[in-house]
Amino acid sequence: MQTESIKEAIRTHRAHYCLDCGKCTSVCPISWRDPSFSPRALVESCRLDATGTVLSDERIWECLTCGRCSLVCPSDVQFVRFVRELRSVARHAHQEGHCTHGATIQTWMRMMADPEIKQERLGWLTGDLRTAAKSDTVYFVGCLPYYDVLFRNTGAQGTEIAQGAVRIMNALGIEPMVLSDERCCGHDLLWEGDTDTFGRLAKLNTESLRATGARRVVTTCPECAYTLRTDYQLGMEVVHITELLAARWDKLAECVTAQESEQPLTVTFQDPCRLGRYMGVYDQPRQLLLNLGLQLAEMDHHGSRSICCGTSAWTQCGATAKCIQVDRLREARATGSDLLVTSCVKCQIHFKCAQNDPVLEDGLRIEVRDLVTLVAERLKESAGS
Amino acid sequence: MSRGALVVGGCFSAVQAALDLAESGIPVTIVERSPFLGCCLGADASASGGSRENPTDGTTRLLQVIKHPNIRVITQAAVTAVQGRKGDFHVEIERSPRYVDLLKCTACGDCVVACPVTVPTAELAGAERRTAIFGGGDGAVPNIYAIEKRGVAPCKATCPGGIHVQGYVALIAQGRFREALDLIREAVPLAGVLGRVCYHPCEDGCRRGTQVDEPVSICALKRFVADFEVAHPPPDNDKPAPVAKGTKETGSRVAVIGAGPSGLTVAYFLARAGVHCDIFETLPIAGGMLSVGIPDYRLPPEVLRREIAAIEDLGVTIHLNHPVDDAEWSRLQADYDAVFVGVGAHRARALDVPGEGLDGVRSGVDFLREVNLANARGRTLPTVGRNVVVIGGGNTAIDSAMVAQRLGAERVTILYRRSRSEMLANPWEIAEAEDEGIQFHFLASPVRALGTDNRIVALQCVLNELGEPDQSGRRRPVPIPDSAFAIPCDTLLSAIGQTVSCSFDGLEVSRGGSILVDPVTLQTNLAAVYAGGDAVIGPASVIESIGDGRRAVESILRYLNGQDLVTGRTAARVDTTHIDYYTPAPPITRARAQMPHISREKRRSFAEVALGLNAEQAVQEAERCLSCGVCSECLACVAVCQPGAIDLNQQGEHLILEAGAIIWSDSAGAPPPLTRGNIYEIYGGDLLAASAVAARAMGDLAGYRQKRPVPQWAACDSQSRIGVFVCRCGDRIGGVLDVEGLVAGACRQPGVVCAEPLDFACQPDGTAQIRETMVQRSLNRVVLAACSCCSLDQVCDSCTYQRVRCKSNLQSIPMDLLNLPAEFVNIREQCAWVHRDDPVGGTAKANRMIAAAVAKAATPNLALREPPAVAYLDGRVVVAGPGLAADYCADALHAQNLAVFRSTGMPQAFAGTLGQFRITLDGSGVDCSAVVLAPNHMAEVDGLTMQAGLFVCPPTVDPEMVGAATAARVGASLGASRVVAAPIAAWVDPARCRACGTCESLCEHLAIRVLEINGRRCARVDAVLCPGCGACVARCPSSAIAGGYSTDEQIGAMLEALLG
Repeated sequence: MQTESIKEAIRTHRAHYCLDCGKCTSVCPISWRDPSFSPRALVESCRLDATGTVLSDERIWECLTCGRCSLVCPSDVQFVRFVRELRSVARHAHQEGHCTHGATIQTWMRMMADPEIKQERLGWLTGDLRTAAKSDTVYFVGCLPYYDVLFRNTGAQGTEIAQGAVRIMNALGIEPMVLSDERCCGHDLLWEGDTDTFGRLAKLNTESLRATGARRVVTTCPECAYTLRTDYQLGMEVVHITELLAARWDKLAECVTAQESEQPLTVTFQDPCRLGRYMGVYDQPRQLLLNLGLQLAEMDHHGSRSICCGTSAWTQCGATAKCIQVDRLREARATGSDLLVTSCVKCQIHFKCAQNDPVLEDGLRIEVRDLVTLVAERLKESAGS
Repeated sequence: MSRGALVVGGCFSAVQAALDLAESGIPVTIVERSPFLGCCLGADASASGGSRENPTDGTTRLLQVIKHPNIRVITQAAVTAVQGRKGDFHVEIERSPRYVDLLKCTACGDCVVACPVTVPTAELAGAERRTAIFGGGDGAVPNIYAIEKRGVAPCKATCPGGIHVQGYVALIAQGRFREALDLIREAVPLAGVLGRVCYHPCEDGCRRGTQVDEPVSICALKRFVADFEVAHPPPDNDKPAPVAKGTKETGSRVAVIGAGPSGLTVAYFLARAGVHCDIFETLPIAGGMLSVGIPDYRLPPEVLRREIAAIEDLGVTIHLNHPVDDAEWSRLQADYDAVFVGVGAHRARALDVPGEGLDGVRSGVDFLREVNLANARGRTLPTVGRNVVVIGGGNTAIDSAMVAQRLGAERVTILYRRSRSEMLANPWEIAEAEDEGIQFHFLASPVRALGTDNRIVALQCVLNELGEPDQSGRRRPVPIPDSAFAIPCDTLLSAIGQTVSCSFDGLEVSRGGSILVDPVTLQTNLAAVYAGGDAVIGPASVIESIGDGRRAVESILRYLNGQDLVTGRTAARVDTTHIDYYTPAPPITRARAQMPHISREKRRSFAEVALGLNAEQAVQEAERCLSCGVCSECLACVAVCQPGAIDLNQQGEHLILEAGAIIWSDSAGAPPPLTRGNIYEIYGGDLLAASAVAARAMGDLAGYRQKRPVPQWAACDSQSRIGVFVCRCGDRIGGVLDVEGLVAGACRQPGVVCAEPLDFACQPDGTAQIRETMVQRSLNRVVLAACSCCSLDQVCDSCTYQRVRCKSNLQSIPMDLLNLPAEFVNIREQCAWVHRDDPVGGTAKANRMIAAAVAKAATPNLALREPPAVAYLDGRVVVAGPGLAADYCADALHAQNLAVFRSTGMPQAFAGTLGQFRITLDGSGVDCSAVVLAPNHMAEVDGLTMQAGLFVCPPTVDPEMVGAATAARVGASLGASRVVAAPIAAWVDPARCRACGTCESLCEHLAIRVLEINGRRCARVDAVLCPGCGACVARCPSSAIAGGYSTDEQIGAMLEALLG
């Protein structure tokens, strides 16, 4: 049964086209630090597996699903999709990855899948933020305020991103709806193979979002954006806020104060995997940064070659992840930038966590910011009012 | 004999010195004056600037002292003498009683609620007043209550009946009237009688009377509570009488001759002790002199009847009209196991003057008996003449006179041969008689009764003057020649004393006819016969007779049980002269309460004259009490103390100690001057300075170090046989949770062999029960649902004295029975306290928590298959660096017989852990157990991670002190010679470790550190230092640490049990 499922996954995601060439391994950030891991080898062992023993192989859970491998695969093996399905099969065989923080976040997600659960979801909405009961835009906040519970001590700014997003939309003349019964989009559970819980979350969110009658969903989290767009059957337009802001720059330009000092800040941009490689949004955030009057200094790996922030789906975060984060932070510092800007709250959390290393501290110091908060703090006082 | 150190004073700095010494392997005794460590009581606290610096981990530190195997703590003790010199001291210590058992008290605080006495808290912070029984507040160590008891209050000391006078006065002041009456009845029956007729020597002893204004009106207060019960009967009248300790339903039988106060008292206490008792009374009514000697207007007969009925209710039979003649006397001796003779003194002493035989001349005692009997039976009262003369100066004379007046006499004169000040009657009775118009004729003696027709018409008298004092100490009356005179008199009542009226075959009596007894035991010349009251001491008081009765009961019970009659008893009164009594400053100003009296016109009847206090008066009067003894011995705390921890008879102790060194903290006052110079002194609260002092003592005593034994280790049985024990903790758990239900539920858990409730898990009895059950049922795991929240051999902020005590007790169970720590479940705080308003929910939660602990105990902890790691410390210490403190430190370490390697340069490289460091100095490697670094600037040690065994002397203005203090800490860490790992140390999965340092930053034991090994940084656990607390396991963001206190498998099993 399980071996059948593995074979099915191999077929579906073109893994049987693997040429064993190893290009994937050569670009895999995990493989760079952990020679025991290789996408190619994992595909190989699945193909050779006759008994399902591969399912208890912990390497199934190591993949960041960053998608760098797929860019270079000559056979178009959809490795990340394959891994996702493999995890689902493994989960049915009672295997799971090693969840960080005692699986606290996974527990939240599963709690949210309960239709009866009541959440205090909108506590972050301050009085100056304008939302509407009826609007053509609904803002899907995601888990931003929840993360602050765990990661506030690292300096992560989940709540500020949500508040900034509404403030910017207000400035653009948008009064979005926000949902008091919104759930986690389920991205992390889906990519961890928990398709059952994901399905329940997706159903609940889909019902809520459709019930709004809105035309468009805006998210500040690339993972929400990608999941709602790709893995939900929503029938609504889903945009990440960087896409919205870039498209509305004409209007936004009137509302923001561009960098005025003689020495403009230099920034470098971390492409979130889902925003960049998965959704192809590379230029919009960069254009926004330039429009704000900031200098942009790219890291060696940027755009489609960008490196993941080191951890995915709150799983398998260990020594390898730390190495990836440390190297990426050093790469960012090497640009001489004042800020490391990203547009995914998880990138921010992971980098800030790594920066807390008491020994490496000085060598990793660079301010990590979200693009949204950067824009929001440049809004003119009168903007949108 | 091992020679240890004596630390005098229990302030934090002294405690630091003691801990350093004890850790280094030297036995330490701490002597602290107050009941608690860590606080400085009394004048010295203010002298040294009030409160001292308390370390933030104060309670934890003090509990470490309590549980340290090398430290003995003696609280409430003072050093009284020191002889000898350094290296050889002979110390005498006086320990005051705490009155609360250190092994039993659970610090529940019920006693404080019950205690009626409060005094200002000069010494303890917090509330402005505290009760006589008091705790030290949260964090006090030991958190065991203590009673401030200065000694027996004078009111109790002077009471022949031994009533807890201050106690019932204190209870009355709080409006707790019933409790007050119960307390009185613990000592005496007949409270209502005593409240009317007692001559209350307590009021003479009352320090309010001798030192402030007038004594507290104690007698009136006693009357008030007795009357209050009559007016407000308790809701359940069949409330069982409190039962005294002693034989129960022994089958013994005791006969009591005479139903007077002593006989009734004997019957009352014997009946309460389960001894059958019959009273034989000659008169037709019970009460003895109380019924036939005291007029009804002073003691209404219904009061007496009610209180005698209460004694009869205890099962005592009173046989009235039952004189005991020779035959009966023989029968009683044969039929009963013991006899008490309390026949009183009813025969009037003869006047012995001519004309004594005339009509109209009779004795006062006979007269009073006739009147009372007539009143009692509704018969015609005797008549008296118009002019009544009463001869005598005692209470019988006064009573006779006042009764005569009530019977219609126009003129009643009391003739007394001495002056008023020699009168034996109570002064207030004399005053009352005068108030009623009784005439007094002092210094006159009768010479002859003059009669007509054989009936008295006048009394011829002679005047006296006072001469030399006689045997009684009173001045002897000497007739004045030619002073004869006559006064008209048609009724003459003589009241010049009484004697015993009956005799018993074989019973030795004095020449005057009173029965001879042993003064302590009241045993007569016949072993089974005891006597007391007026029949022994002559006409005396009710309370003295009652006191006799009580003493006789003690003897009779001992006699019946075949015990020695005398042991531990004395006839001497309690000596109160040395007691430093308490006086509130200032005492409340309020005049002594006065009882209202009926109007003078109404006093022609036998209606009661004094009307008693009302409740408001009683409370206000009781508030006048000075609380001399502080503890009033009201026994309220004893009654509410469920652990049975209070022992008001606890005695102090005189201890003798041999010590090699003495450290004296200034919190304990000045050390004895003679030995100054030999004694090390600690000034103020600086912990570092205290360690420096400890270093010097450590050097002196280095030869007396004891190596800590390596605990034996037994591998776990894979098959769990679990016993579950559920502590009731009195009402603290048992009053909220369904303990029986929890026990039944636990029995159904898989792996559980048996489950039992415990009364108090932290008492030695609790441990004994666990141990016994373990043997009987072959248990190898114990789950203990009580108040401890972890099973670790450590103390933390949550710990309490009781939890430490519980764990220490359990350690007395040998390893071959219990080789794993008991699994503790804190149902006291986490269930009974949190859910005190929801007992059902609390019980359900406790049920699940116990199930989880059982599941954990049933899941083997594979880490425990291997014996724990042991680090051997060889005593080599490197002292490196140019700092001035280094030389002092090295010297002090030399004095401790440690091998010191001294280098003035700082090390180039540094690796290893406690016991196995490798230091590179001037290019060569040195192995050592500990390292002391003394840099010139702290910058030189920047980036160095603090760890066990590594010490830094910062540059300082006082290098001598810092150097010595560091040496003490080094000695403390090496003194044990070997360190044994907890068998449950944590371990790190290197692949998961992010080297973020979270674990390192929170480990209190410096047991986990991020190290760089082969170019890769990763957290490493030093198993020798890790107590297995699990803090790092819980906080690791990448869940890289496991094992420790609970393995993942065990936590999984617990979760399943919790949620299943």
